[in-house]
Amino acid sequence: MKRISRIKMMTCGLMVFFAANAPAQSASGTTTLSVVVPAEAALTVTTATTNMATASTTFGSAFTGSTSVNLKFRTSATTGSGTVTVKITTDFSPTGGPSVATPPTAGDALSYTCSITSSAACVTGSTTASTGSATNVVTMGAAKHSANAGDVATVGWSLTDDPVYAQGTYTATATFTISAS
Amino acid sequence: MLRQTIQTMTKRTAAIAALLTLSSPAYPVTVTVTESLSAVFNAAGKLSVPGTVTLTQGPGFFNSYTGSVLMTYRARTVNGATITMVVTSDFPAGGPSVAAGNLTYTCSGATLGTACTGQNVASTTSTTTVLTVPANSCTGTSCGNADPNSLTLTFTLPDNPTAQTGSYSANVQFTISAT
Repeated sequence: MKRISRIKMMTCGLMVFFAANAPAQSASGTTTLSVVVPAEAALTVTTATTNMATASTTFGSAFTGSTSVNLKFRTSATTGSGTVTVKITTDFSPTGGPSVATPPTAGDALSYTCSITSSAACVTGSTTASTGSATNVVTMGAAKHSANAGDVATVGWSLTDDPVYAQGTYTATATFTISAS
Repeated sequence: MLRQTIQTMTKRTAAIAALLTLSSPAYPVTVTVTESLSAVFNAAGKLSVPGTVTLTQGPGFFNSYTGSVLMTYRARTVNGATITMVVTSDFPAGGPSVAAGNLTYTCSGATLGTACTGQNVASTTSTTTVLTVPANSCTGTSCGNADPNSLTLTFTLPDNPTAQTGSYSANVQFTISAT
């Protein structure tokens, strides 16, 4: 009887011991996160309205103004490329003033230059804007990307100050398009 | 003394005889034996996660990539349990970077325990706690919860233009520890 009691007591003691010293249990699992990063491009015209003006009152200089465009892009590593183009989607109105499609005088033009601090490249020199086709503003080669916040391209506009333009306010719409592959 | 001994022997002999007499017929006999069964239930934990989760981009350009991991788990605790997470293998160079703090996650829908709150930054160097299970908890309907328990983690990766095009993958290890 005493022996049985001792065994029981020892058993209880072991059970208490095990319970109080329950070993930590751990188990693990692993997930692979997979992502495909594509070629992408986006732009934001940060100058909603570009006011063009001339300082001259003697037809000595053109109307000028500048438009800022924020560019985000990523081109593919080997064969990638990209462009930013602009097209005059609505010519100046009302009539009687400048016109991109049908300049009142030969040589009248709306042209632009570009500057950018980026791995992308602006077109060099001055380019005449068109209502018929989009013209390049920026080009990107393979494996190029903008900064995370985007790169800023500045487009400087120039419009001939032709005396035949009637006095008044004229507006046109320029549409920028970015693409990347 | 001698008389007492003789009397005792006589009683025992009579008792044995009685026993023999009773045991001869085949009467049904019921025997009840009581035995104590004991089992020690130690703390335990187990979890399961999908092998691969694809992070997909939301509509539009340069939107973040997101993907959800439905984790199932079971736990029995004495003192409590935790589920932790660490990125054991970062995305390859040129792509997104966990080390740079790009990968974040949120927790939702835990059926047992308290899951992480807010936006949490995943790490390659230190474990981050995803879920805490209180003491004296268990999994199952008798414990007042589902079997298995589940938790959804939603990973978010910003679409940084500086990442090169391509496919990238990283490994995330989840560990449940119960005491």
